[in-house]
Amino acid sequence: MLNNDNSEIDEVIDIVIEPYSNMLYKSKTLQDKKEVDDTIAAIKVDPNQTLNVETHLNYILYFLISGNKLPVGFKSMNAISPWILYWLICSLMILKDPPISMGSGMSLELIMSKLKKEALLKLRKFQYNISTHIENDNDDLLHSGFSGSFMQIPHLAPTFASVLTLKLTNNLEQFEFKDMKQWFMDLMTKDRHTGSYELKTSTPIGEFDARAFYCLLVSAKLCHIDLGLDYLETLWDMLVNSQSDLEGGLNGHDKDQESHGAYAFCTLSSIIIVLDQLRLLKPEKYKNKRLHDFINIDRFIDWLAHRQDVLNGGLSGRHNKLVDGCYAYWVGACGSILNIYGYINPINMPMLKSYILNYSQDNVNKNPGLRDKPGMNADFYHTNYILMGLSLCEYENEMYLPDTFCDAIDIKCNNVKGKQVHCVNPVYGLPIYVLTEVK
Amino acid sequence: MENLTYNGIDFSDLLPTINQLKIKEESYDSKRSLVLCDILCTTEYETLMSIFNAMLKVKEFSERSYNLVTEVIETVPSYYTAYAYKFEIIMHINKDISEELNWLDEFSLDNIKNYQIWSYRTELIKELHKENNSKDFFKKMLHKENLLTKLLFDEDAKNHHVWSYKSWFLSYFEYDLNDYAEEVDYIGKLIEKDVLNNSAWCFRYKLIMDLLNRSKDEEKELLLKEELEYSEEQINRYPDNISSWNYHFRMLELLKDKNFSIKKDLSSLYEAHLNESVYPIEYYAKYLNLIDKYGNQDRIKDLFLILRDHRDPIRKTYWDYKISQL
Repeated sequence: MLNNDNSEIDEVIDIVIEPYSNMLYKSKTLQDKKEVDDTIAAIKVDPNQTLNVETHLNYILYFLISGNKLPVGFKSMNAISPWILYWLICSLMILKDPPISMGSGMSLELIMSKLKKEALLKLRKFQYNISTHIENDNDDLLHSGFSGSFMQIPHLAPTFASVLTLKLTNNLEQFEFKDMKQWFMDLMTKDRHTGSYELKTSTPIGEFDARAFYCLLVSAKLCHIDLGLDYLETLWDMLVNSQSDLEGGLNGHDKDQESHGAYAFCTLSSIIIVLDQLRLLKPEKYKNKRLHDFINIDRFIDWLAHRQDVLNGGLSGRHNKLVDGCYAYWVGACGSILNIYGYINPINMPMLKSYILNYSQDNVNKNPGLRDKPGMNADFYHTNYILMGLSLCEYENEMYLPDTFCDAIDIKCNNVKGKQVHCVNPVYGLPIYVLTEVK
Repeated sequence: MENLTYNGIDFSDLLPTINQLKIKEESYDSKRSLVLCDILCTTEYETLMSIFNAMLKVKEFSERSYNLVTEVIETVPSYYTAYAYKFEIIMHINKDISEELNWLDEFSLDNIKNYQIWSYRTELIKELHKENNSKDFFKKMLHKENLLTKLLFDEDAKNHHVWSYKSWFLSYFEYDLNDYAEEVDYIGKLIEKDVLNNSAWCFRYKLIMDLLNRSKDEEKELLLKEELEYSEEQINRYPDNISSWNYHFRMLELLKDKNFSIKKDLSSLYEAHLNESVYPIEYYAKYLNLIDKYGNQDRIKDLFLILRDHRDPIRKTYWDYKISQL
């Protein structure tokens, strides 16, 4: 509706003739972007920069084997304790031939054997939780998911982090999971009002998003839990119908949401894990089927291609959002997966590697750990996902599937010299050498 | 007999359970020799959590448990178990859900990055809807939800949790055309404020698709063309913006899908901005591909080559792939 006084028309004309530079005073997106671009521009790029392995190793070991607890300020992580173990132990195990020469006086073998024992003891405590046995204090009843700390309810995210930590420390066989399947079943409910399925990270209250699918599917796979055809097909229908018509990203369950790098990764990996199983369970429908039979790969590639910043090679999670080192994994892995499955990877991996080495680590003050972007502090989460992202860059052309339709857990890599990190399986988020014996 | 009070409330009756859980936890910790990133706790925090855990174990659903759980959430907003427990307490002792939502509104404004508040909110809203599903009640609820989400978008207009929640709310309830008009109007304001807010563009798309599904055929064409015009205006405001080009192109795709004519020649739109951004070059190629793939092949290839060799070389592999598909 136009007002009588034409002020709206004037306003429109004003906008059209407004020079674009004025938009900077108006748009928060442009202001934020400029701030980051300026910070990054101030850093000198060294094309020969390598990973400061020793600096990061000190950071990881300081937290893993020190005798000090984390300070009170970390209390919010009490809700998600197993993640800290996964991030740090995975980071340590990605580093290739870490130069252990610190004051600890311990060899890598000794450190690993200590971590194996201690991770097991710590995680036992998180499998003790209120839903497994509220009335009975018998430890023999601990056979379900893990929680974020002692006496919480089990939750898919800490379960995923715990299972991966146990896999890394070769402890999975020390645990039983016979009630986990029932718990997984209970997490999927049908909404009474809409009639559609929901998968929650915990019950009765829990988040329903792409992370729930991914955490559940990876945990089930590593713990050898057979989810059954009906359950898998219900997940499958949600996953393959979640591609955004507007943007092309994979959204988990809601195609109308804004596509997001981390959710796209969780969805793509979930689709692969489910398809691996459906091929065996229902060959008449899924045998010899590939990703492009179910999702529009070209639209996904279009969306993925635009994650990379032209100026610095870093990746963003969404259109018009800032780059963040952690997307080196979430988004980088989408590219690697496409490549492994015979499609193109639209991400320029050498440029991504340059972002990681020049901007995600502090080469001036040699502050330890890896970070989102210059100006930010390093943390456990970024250290892990950026190291995994670096691995995807280093092994860009070395990862492959032994044959077109084999299980993603069998992704292999050519063992080549001169790398600073181990090869990571982009679907499962673990170094390949850890996964070799899973079947 | 030992006593235990917290914030002036007596919890002495829970001491046997608290001690039992303490022994249990110690039975795990005594075997360990590395702290392995355990987190330091204040004594007050330890007391609070020990009462919380004991209540959980004995399934206490009471006014005092309700208050204590609120305190746990306010101390550690990501403590997901507390939300699940709080929900069960509310169901058992019939707390007023609207009151709880009022508390949650305040809490959400202070914890804008939190995940748990949204799943908790979703379940509370579902319960509220079970109690009263009248049109009138919905209108009031929508009004209230929008007050909150608008305040949150003032803080962070791209908060993915808030947008996902808004999207869920829209899918769950039956909006009428007036409600839609208000939503479109609000999204227009957000785009006016920051034309590069991709979240707002995505939500606009959802709204328009819902409206499209409700429209008769002749209205569909009009709606899509209005949106085409709208996005063109936004492109002209600031052409270096993937959100507006992408939206514009999606409208073109939908018009074509539904066999509505795209009478206007849009070449001039793209050509006017070719030097200002890479997006007009890319979307020009998409447009030419959409209207006549074979007739425009050479022109499309030229555009891809400009991108590959001059304007966007970082995506060389991608542009080569696009060229190979011609």
